[in-house]
Amino acid sequence: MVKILSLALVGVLMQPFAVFATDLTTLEPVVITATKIETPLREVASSVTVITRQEIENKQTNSVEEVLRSVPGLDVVRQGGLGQQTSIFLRGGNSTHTLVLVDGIEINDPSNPGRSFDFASLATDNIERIEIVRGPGSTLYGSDALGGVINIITRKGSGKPRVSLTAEGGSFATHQEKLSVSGGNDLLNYSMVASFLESDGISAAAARYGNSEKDGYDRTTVATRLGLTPTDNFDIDFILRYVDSEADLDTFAGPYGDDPNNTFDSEALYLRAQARLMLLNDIWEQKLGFSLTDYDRENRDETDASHPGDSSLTTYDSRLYKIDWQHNLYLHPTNTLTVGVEYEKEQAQGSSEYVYADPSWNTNDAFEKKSAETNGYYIQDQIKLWQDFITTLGVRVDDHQTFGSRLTYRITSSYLFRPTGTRIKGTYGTAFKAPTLAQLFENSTYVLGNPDLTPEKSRGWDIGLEQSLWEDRITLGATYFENHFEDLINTFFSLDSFKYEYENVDEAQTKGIEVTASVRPIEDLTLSASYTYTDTENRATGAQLLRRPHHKYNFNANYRFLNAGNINLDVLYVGEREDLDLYDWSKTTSLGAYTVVNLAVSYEINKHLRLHGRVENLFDEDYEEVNGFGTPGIAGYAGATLTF
Amino acid sequence: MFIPHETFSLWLFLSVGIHVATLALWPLPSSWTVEQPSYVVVDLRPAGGRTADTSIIAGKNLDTPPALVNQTAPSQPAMHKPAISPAKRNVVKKASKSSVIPAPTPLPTELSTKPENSSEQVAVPAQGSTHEFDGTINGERTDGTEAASNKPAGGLGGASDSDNNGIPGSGTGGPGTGQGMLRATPLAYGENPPMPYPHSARRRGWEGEVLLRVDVSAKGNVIAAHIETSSGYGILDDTALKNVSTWRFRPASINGTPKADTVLVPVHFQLHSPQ
Repeated sequence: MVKILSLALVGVLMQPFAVFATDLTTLEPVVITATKIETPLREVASSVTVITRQEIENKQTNSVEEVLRSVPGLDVVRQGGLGQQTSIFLRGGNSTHTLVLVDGIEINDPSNPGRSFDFASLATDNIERIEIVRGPGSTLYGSDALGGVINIITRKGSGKPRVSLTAEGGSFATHQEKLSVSGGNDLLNYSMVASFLESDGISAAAARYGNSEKDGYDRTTVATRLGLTPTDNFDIDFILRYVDSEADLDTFAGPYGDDPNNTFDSEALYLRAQARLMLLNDIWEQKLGFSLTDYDRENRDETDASHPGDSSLTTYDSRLYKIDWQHNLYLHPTNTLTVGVEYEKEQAQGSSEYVYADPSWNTNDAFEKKSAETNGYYIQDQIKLWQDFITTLGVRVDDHQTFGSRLTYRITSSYLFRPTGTRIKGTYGTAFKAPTLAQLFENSTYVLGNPDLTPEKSRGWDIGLEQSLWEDRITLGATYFENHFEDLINTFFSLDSFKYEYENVDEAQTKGIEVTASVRPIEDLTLSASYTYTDTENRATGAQLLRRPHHKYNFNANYRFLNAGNINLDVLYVGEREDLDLYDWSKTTSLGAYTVVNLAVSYEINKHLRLHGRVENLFDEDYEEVNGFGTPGIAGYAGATLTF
Repeated sequence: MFIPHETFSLWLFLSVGIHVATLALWPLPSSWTVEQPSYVVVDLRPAGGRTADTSIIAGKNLDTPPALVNQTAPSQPAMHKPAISPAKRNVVKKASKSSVIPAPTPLPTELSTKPENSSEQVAVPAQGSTHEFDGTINGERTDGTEAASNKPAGGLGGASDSDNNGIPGSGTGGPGTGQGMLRATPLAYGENPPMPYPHSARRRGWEGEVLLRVDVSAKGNVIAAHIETSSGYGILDDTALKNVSTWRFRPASINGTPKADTVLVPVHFQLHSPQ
């Protein structure tokens, strides 16, 4: 009763008077800027290159491997045109020494004899940024990160819902369609992209040997990220990436390499669910995640005119389960402690059948399902004194069910010399690679696995300088690196089993220099350049490691004009490198250096429509990345994007 | 249970008191405001602050509106001193446009009487006055309804027409347009406390722009603030609202005389990558 009276009283007092419409002035916006919060595992001192979504958009690249080519200390080798097997070498290490992650999901293929990742099928869809960390990374991520880690971070939706449609077409009858939907608010955020890419391609086996049969490619990608933020301190995220691709292959390099019905079908699914909880007023952060990686691959080669009696069917299926639990303790502005545990189970199975004109050569092998479990425990401490001195120390133990435990550690340090604004940084660490399921357990007609294999191991270090000039408009960097590899797994032909076997004997060493420069003379123009010198050595033979060039240059100019257009010029020079001789694999030959120039232009007609076009290999350079396999000549593509 | 009369009255009294106090002091949602009429005072004085004359025209009491020679003594509008609590409470509705002053033909000769010279017809603040305007124009009390509002910002050009309530410089062109009319603007960044980026939004990568409608008193305090357009994230909206409400503004003024004003303040939250 009293309450009603009080309310009534208040109601009477609150008589609104008419607000008389006036011309309201909108003032200059107040801008509040903050730095994105880095995760403590993002190494400030290590050699990190970040490729942003804007850069991917400026270069108009559809595949991750295309945009990785310009990164210093990184070599991309593709065995033919778009869609063919693509390998990445970091700091001269093997392609099996690159760990690739998507939002923390390990996407290296457990059924692959080297557990490497084939970049052929990775599209740039729904990617926010790509972080390339060079140097030993096992301390944080476990096995495989000897050369470095490539971490692909999916885009997170925000703001008003946006729908956009893209269509693109061009050379080699290539066309691509893409649909993306994104948005977000206090409770829910989403970003979903679905795309379809198809191309007639070029002949994978080099055309100059007389190969003319085009090897086409098609790829369907669905990449989504969904997040829930029910309360201030609790986040849940779901990430899904599905790729279905088919590529025509050529069986051999060089002359008579063409094969009109050799196809490689691949289905990949990457799934992750993660939850993050902040406690104690944001001092204690916990992350719990479940990841699943699933591969289904098939290589089918029917008989054809050139190979009337030969056919084959090979299948590989693999799965990787991972549970990870990480704690970040922001104890003090100067100190962050990270502790984590991981459980991982990899499994693989396969079959392989070869039929020949002469049936005595026929083989039919099955790789029964085999699995391996690994537990990982790690701890890292980061000491940060203003920006002047940042040091990170980390230790990790990985316990593998077959070979036992392996300890890795890493220390990175960075020091800012304020009078000149120079930053000096260095890293020293060890890494390992667990033997793969194929290397441990295979038992087929020609290959016998070795369950006594021990991990490959490495220790590496780097030291570098960073300097900003002219009010941060010029950034210069130089880094010297060295990696020593031991117990590398080598294949040899055993006279006991008359099969190929594996052993840990190889040793290799890589060293080099990475130099980078970036200049922004005026607001809309960015010029960047990098140079990498890599010297690799097989310690047993003294020879250079294959397919890794001594010299690599990259130059890029990006100019934004009229606040709506963008022009990007990219020049890549790859120096000479060694590769296997076409006819005698015990010999090597030298592949010539090449320069590829790409030009991309885009223009936003209004806020709904954007047109883009690009020319790849502007000067029609003729070159080979792998001996005997071809590369596309000059090519043009154009398209449009509609956004609502 | 039987409660004695005296005890019951006491508890009733206490209860009402607590309820009224709670409802009076409880923070109201941003969209609730109390509007009270305010009056615009137009001081018929030449620009340039001839203080000697002000006393003549305004009379001894600076709070009283100036008398125009050809008008009967104006009634004194009540001065409303609004209860100012930061953000979200009682608003003194300001008349954003002050009415024009017709050609001051009856004014003393020291004053310029050229109607076209609009700048000299604009109200000049009474010496040292920082109070809000009381409005009388042509002897009539204005409550802002007429008027003022919709006349173009042409300044006082219409002064030749004494019936014409042209509004001096109340244009939307921003500070400084239209004959000495300045809109309210926030004090320089160093003088207002910096606005923090809410930690959970920063952690999640939330960005956005929220448009606030801010009522600023003639003293430069925020009387009320509302969310005109949301950023899409409640925490960014709330942070902007709470912080802007504590800000000091340079008050709006017409040729130097401060007045209350309403402005739109866009607050843009953005994150950049570390480097």
